[in-house]
Amino acid sequence: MHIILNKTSMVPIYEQLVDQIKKEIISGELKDDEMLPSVRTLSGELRISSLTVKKAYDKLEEDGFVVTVHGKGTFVAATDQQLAMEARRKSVEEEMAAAIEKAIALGMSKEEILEIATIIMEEYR
Amino acid sequence: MRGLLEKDIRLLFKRKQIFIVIIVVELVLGMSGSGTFAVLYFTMLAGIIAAGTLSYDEFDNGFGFLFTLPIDRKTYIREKYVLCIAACAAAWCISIVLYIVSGIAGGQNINFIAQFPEFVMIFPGMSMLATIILPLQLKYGSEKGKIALFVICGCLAAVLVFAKNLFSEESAIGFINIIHGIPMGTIMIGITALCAIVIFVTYSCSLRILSNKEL
Amino acid sequence: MIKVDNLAKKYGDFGLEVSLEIPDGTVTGLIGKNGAGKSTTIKAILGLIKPDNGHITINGKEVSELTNSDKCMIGATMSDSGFSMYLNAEDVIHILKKMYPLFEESFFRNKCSELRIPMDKQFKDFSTGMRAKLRVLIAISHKAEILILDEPTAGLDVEARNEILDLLRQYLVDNEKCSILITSHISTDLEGLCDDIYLISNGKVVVHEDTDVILGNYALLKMDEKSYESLDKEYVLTTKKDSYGVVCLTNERQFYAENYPELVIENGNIDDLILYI
Repeated sequence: MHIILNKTSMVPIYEQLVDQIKKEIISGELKDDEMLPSVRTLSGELRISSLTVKKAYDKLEEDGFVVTVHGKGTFVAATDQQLAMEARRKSVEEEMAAAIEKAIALGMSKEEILEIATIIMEEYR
Repeated sequence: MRGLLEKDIRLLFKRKQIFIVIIVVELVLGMSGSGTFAVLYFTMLAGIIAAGTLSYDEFDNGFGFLFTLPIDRKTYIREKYVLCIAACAAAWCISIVLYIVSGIAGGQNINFIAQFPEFVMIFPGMSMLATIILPLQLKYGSEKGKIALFVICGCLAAVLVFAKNLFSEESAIGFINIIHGIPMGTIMIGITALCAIVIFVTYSCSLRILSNKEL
Repeated sequence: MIKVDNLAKKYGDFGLEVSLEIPDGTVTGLIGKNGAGKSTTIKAILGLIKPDNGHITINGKEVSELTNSDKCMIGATMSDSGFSMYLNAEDVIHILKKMYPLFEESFFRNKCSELRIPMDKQFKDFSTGMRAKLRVLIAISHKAEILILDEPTAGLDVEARNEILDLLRQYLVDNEKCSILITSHISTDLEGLCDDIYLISNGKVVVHEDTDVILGNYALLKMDEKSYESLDKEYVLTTKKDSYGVVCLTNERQFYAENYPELVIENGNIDDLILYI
């Protein structure tokens, strides 16, 4: 598992952890049923608090990416959860396609559309 | 308590030079025949040095750390008393043996039986002295504790002098005659009992002082 | 679990009044300026001083009633005291063997050689770094379930500090149930280790927060007087004005990041908390 944290970023650390672990699960680097490092092991290696790692694992479980078995550890959930994520991405793509279609119909140029997209994303940083 | 004993014994044996000096002095004294003094000196020194391990513990805020270890204040005091009495006992035995050996080697006429009562009383006597030092050190710290000890000895000496002047020649002689009338065995038991009582009193004082002490 | 319930202690002008809780398996940091009351709190928890009022319990038992074998599960380091200077590491092994039934001699010896601690040198000849490492090593060599560490990294260079923190991290991995209460001035040490932080100031707990909340949600907002006037101050905790501008401490970074995009926002950290609370 490769995790690179930016401690000076505006993105909270636990969010960075969630994103990076998710990416590894989706890309297949972390396999189904593979056990993630224990909370203390990961927090020790990354030099962050165990609570942060626990929050990240809890969020990943909420989103269906991992399963925690009490007393045993945290494991990558089976692939159907990832399919669910891919399905969600597909629907986001479809919504974006619909919005862009509307914009083109209104006569907006490619640059204008990209500008709006950029501005919107800035607000979420 | 075993851990504390281990610590104190190791600390005591760090000062090897002192032991060598003492043993040499002992042998010299033994050969010159002043046996009682040799035994007294060695036993007293052992007791005082053993009681002095308290100053090692106290130095540099040491008590703070010491009491985070799995010991309580009672165990600490008990260990110090065991250490002092054991040190006196060991020194007493060794010095008697050295005295006999060096006396024989030096060609002295050792009248051991006659000197026996004096020897026997040295052990409880010096143990008592060592244990008096302990509560003084605890209450006033090692520096001031030693000063307090001198002050007390000085006061006792002054009392004795004063008493000597108070009582006339005849009453003093009368008093001494009474003492000579009492069998030696009774005197030995009496003095030993007195020392034991004093030791017990100092033990209770030490416990009380330490339990009220903020570390 | 360590529970400090309304601990009160008075020293002349200074009055301590704190309540804390360190649940099992938690690493809690205690920070504050010199004289704020950190060491007093630690000493009370260790039973070295008697509180004027309040209760301190460890795993449900009052601290004053802990037996010697209860104390075996506690490992402590004090910032200003340790074994006598005339002892050496070899002596300490023999002493600890007789005090702690769970003392791990081979672990201790291995770590000594790893940390380059000489076995036969008297402590009076140790460097500050060696002394600090030895103190922590003593605390973690007998399977303690609770570690209470008073400024274990004080006065050390960055390499030595990291060695000690890594020692602690490894101990946490090997002893999942262990809890740690640690005090320090060095906030970055705590940020990388502690789950939550208590900030003590003038004898009182002024902040108790999870570390990642401090690092994620707290922030310093920097602006000029004019911007300050028009700022929504609902989530501003404290404000400091100087000749260059205004600095506000907030615990809702996201709110200000979303609504005031031109505002200079700095990620909050523990030092900011100490300085700006």
